[in-house]
Amino acid sequence: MRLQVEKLRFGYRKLPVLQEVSFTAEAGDLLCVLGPNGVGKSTLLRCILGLCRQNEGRVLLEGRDVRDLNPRERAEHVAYIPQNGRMDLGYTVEDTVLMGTTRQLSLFARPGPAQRACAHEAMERVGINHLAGRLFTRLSGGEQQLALVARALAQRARILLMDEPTASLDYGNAHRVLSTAKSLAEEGYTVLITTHDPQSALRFGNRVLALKDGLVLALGRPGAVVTPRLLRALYGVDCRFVPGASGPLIDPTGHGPER
Amino acid sequence: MLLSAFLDSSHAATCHRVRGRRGVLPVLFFLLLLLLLFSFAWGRYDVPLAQVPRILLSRLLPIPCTWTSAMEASVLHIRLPRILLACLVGGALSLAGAAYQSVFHNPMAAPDILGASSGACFGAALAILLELGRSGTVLTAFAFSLLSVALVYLAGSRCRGSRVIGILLAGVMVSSLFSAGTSWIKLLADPGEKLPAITYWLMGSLAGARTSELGFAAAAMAPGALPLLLLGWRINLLTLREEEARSMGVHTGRLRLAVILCATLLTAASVSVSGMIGWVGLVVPNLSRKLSGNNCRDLFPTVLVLGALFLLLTDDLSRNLMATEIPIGILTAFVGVPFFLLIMAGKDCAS
Repeated sequence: MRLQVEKLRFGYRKLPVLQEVSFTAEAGDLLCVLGPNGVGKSTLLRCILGLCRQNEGRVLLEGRDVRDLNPRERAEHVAYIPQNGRMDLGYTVEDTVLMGTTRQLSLFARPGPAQRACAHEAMERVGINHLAGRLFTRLSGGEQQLALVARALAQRARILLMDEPTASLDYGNAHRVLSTAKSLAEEGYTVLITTHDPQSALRFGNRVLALKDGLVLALGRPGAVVTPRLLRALYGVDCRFVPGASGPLIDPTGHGPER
Repeated sequence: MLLSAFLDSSHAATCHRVRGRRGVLPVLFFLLLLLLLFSFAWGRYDVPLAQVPRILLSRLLPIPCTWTSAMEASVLHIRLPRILLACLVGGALSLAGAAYQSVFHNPMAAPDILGASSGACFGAALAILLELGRSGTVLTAFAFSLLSVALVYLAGSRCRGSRVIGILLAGVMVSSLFSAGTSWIKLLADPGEKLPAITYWLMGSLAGARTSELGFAAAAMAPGALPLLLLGWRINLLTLREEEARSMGVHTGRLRLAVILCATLLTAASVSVSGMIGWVGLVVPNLSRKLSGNNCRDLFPTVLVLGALFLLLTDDLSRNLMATEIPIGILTAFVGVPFFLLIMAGKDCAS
């Protein structure tokens, strides 16, 4: 599924957030969006979800403008995996994953055997079948993130948007979640991840989009785009790149004045 | 009894597995039937338990008469309407509470928060003052509770920042406005006749239950309850964050409005036939969450049955505990306030 963003411009009230953002992601891409805090990474995801309607420019899903689609049609194409599973009322993991199948249901229907099978398939895919009966609110951060990935898979959309999936995870869980994302991209999903960690963009991404001041600073293959110069421009940190077994390792050496 | 059930179930909820709770509903249903039977027998005028089903069935089947006409009058004309009204009001207030909690992401939400109860009280007090008669009272109460909810919804959704908090705050404001209005009406009311009527009504009671009211209550509650029961699965998604629910294909704005309208209709109908019976909409949904989990598909039917059970039991106590009847609103507050504090103390309660 192809995702095209063309000259996207968006601001809250008079404060511009995204000035002019254009890029394309294809099936099989794991696109990592890098950028300092507050640069509009989450806003970009909201625009792609069709939740910021007053934007300029276009977001096209397989050639159709998201703003012309109703919520159900958008849900057929794009699934959203939020940063952390804040949930006020606890549901079981199975019910949580089943919520992803809601777009298949008519207004008054409840999930039936077909949806249950779909949910179990999704849980199996990310390896959390054993958690089905547990309460979502009592899972660890990593398990919650995987359950949200399973929910997105149960939605059967081909574009997955992950908002800082590793933000509050320990090292092992972050690795597990990113590996899952990578293998999903290899299966033909279009995966878009916002992240604060250039190292994981290097390690897992096959494309990188760097945002600064609402503009695209760089777009391309991680090896070509993620350079000491880019990191200095994005974060004001000086780095050396050290050759590692599976690509370069980033070694921060110092930082300039706080911006 | 209910409190100990709550403590037991909160213990059970600390276990990580929460499946296999489907069996709860039949058990509650059985308990309700049992309590119904006892409620007919229990009262100032004793009716032997064995006669109760015979008297009830005598209207449908030819059964030889083994009871006195006083027993029949007491069961069919006094207790039957009152028992049915207790079940209706208990179920309706509880379902409204559960629905509000889902919409406002808040296990502490109750029908009172949208100002529905205080609006209805104002309307009823006004009607008593203007001598609009019994059905006039019901209709006025109903109109004002809908008005106050509309006010809360409009004011709350224009609030900057979190809309959920905005609506809760607007609810507090509008409630206190209508309470002040009610106090003013009490000040104007004739202290010999109207003031006691208003005061008694405000305390909440099922004592005056009549068949005509029963029909009105049922007719007003059905269009509120049915959509909620049918939309149960989708309402689950409203408890997530806005962008999550919308990304899964839910029209959140429309659905939220529909749920609020249905829940308010339930509240307004209950309050206008039985006065201010507080706390039911808070206690019963939270107990039900313990018993059947948070999935509205299972929760809503459980809430209906448990709400009927709870209010019927409370009403039985209110008419039998002391020589004079205790207004039921007082008893529900005695149960509700400690319960509210319990929820506040145990953060984990709803999850």
